Amino acid sequence: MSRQSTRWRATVAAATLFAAAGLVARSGALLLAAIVPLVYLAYSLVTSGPGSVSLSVTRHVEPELSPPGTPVHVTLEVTNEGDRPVSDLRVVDAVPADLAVTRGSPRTGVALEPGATTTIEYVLVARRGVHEFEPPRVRVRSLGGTSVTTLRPTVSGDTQLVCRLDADAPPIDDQGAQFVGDLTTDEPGEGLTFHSTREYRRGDDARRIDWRTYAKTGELTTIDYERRRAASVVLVVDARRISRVSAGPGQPTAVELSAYAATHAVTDFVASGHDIGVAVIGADGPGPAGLHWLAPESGDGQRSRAIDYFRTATEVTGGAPDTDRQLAELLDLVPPGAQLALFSPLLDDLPVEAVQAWRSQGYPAVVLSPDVVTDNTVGGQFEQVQRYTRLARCQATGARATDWRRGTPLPMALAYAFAADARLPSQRPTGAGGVP
Amino acid sequence: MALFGPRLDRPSALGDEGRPRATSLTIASLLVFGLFVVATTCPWNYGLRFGDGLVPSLIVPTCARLGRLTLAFGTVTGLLTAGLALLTRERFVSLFVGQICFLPAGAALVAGLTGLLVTSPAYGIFFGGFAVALVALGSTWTDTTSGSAVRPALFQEGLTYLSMVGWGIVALVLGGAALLVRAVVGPAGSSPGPNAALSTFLVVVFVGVLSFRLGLRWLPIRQLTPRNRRGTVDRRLGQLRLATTVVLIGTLVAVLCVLPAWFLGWFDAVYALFPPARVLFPVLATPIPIVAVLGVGVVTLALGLVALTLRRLTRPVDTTANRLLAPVAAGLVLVLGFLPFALSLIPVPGSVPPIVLVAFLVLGPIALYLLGWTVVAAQYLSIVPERAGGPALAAGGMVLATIGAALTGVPTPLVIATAVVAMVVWDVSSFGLGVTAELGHLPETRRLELFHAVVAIALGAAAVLSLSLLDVVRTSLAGEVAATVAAALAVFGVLVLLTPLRGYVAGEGRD
Repeated sequence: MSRQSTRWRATVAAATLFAAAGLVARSGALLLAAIVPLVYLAYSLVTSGPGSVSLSVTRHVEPELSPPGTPVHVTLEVTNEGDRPVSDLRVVDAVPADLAVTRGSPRTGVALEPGATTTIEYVLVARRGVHEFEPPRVRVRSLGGTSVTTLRPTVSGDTQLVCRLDADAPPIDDQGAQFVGDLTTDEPGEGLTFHSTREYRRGDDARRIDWRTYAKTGELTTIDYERRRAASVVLVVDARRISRVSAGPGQPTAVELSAYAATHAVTDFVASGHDIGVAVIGADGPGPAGLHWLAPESGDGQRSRAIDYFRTATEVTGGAPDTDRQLAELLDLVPPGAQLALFSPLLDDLPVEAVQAWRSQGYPAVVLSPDVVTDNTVGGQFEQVQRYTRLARCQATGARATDWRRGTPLPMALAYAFAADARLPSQRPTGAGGVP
Repeated sequence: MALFGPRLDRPSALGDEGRPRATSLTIASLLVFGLFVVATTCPWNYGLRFGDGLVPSLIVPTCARLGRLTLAFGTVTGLLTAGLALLTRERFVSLFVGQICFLPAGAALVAGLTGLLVTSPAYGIFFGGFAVALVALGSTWTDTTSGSAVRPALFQEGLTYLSMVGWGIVALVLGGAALLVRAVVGPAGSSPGPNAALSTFLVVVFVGVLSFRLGLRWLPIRQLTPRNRRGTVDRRLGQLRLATTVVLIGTLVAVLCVLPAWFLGWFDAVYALFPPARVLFPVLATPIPIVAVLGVGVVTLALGLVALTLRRLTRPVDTTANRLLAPVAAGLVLVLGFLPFALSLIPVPGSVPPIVLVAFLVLGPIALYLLGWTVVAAQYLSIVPERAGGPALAAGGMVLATIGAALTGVPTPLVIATAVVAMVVWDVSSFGLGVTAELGHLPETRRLELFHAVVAIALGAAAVLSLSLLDVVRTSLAGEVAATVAAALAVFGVLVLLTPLRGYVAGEGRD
């Protein structure tokens, strides 16, 4: 598509003015000066012919598959494949509408020699979903800048960015830790840490027989270890309307970040043999009180079901159900001895009250709060102070509350949030955390 | 943080489409400024030409004089631009400094150019064109060419002018009162009579106590007092206010009684009843009691004003209050300190009677006000494009300067060069504006802009060379008059030939 510019329309007026003034003042210099605007007008007209432009465009998206909130580097290379220089080439890459550029610019303007290449580099923040890149918009102007041709060249290389909650969570089989669980108890049984010895019973594993005692006394004894067992963890994702906010345009919402963190945690827990339950509050689901509820179980199938629920949480757009009733129902559904892990940006007091209720019922609780509050305004700073206060109130109940700041890698935040009391051998988690 | 004073740019302006890219604008600015320096510092101005019998030693000081003129002209346009940029801000300091820059410089420029147009129209057009171009380019840099930026500046300029008039009236009243007191008391060095001394002392006490009372009102005495002693301090301050009020009323009544008594001659009876009064009253008008009473009041008032100023400068931004208060403060400062400076800025050649300068100073702000609203109206009527207003005005100014240069007798190559600069300024500025609109301020586009500018300048250089040669041929082959008529016919023919292009140029889409 080509069109002409009107930049030189005023030159006729200038030439006329010079000529008129020259005639009135009888000035030859002014009459000659009247030719100058006409020279520029003629130049713009002469150089406005359509020219053949041959461009090749290649795009690289790194990584092509990424979890929400992570930076994605995009590189667009435009090469002049023709045999004539392009005097004015302007390129604007078609960034998917849902994504925001955080560094660099998806635009450039250059004069390109034959065979030369210009490169655009910019960084996006990934949001959940499949984001297609349209071909970049390329504008080529004539030497005088009068004729404008807009092109949509074919792009080779990457054309989409896939952002999944479990993008950086490896398959469970790759983890290789197929334990029943890794919480130790005071009860004797199978495990790794020595507990006691007892008289041999028929059927005991030969590897547990204490052969040294047998050599000394001639009696068979069996070694007991601190028995390892699995924990039940219920991951609660706050998907209420108030949490469906982001730190800026094109940034992932707090629900997306919470779901991403929960996905990561589920993968770790399932790999460790724990029982995992899921509850999504703030969304109208098929479970009791409108909850999306998944009772604690272990195994890869449970992980897949959990990730489906998290995906559902990020796609919720509807109105708010009765979240108070959902939280009350959750307390009835959670099995005794289970731990509750809440993923919420803590933008109001309801999550704090929920944690207080859980702790009052004796449930261990962990809170991981993704930070989506901007503090470059007075209102944002005030909101951040309120959020810190809520984190402190959660901590005061005995829960482990972790602030997941922007820029902090998720594994680090998760490691801190779930830094387990289980590191202490032979100890059941009492209040804060508990799952490694 | 700015090293001194308010910043002229602001980070929030980055990325908008308000001004062309920096490279294009730099080239346009350099061309205009360079041409202005050449045109005003070379000896062909003011009728000086090489080979006209002038001794070269006379040329050098003339060039130096014209160099000073360039400097003064650049200073005035720069201050005007800076003031316009600062007047779009919200903080008190920015608005105050903006008024200090905008009004004197703008008024001096407009008044000076008006005077130049009247006394020497050719030079008026020449300098007026350059002034428009320089101010337009400057305000394009600061992104203040739109009507939305100029309107608040003009509103505040009007307020400042009214404030100046008000402060001027106050200054005249105070000066008149001082002259009156001086006339009554007698010339300096002579000892005043007892009646005059008593009257002077009462007036001094009234002014001193009034100053003290005002200063006390603004001093943060209560705020600096420890909390446990604030009750006591509040009580004492209340007593002090009551006492000063009583003294103020007392002195006012005393003055009102003394003056009639003085004129009616009743003091003779007082002196007859109490003879030492004739000796005592003159002592009251000696420096020691005058300075003591007046000094306490003036120092307290000065401290109070400092405290008030600091409070104003440090409190959160209140846009409306700042926009009203800054012109009042600026008007006071302009009346007190800037009149001589503003007078010195008016670039009027030759000796002009001071009354003319004062008239220009009084009428200059009004002319500036009217000129500003003319620009706003031109943008409103789409005579000047809203988005490309700066480049359009700059190019228009250079067109005017070209006509002025031809009328002042500048050599033909320089006239043609001025016309070329007008075209190049429009070309690179509008090109840079298009780049900004399409790509924003973030991408690196210097190479693209430089390439376009080099082509435009090369074309202009070729035009200057070829047209200058044509001028030589024109003047050597035919007489001046015949050549001019021929050139006029040639240009007319070209314009007629261009008529079919009008539809082509106007009928296509916008860039």
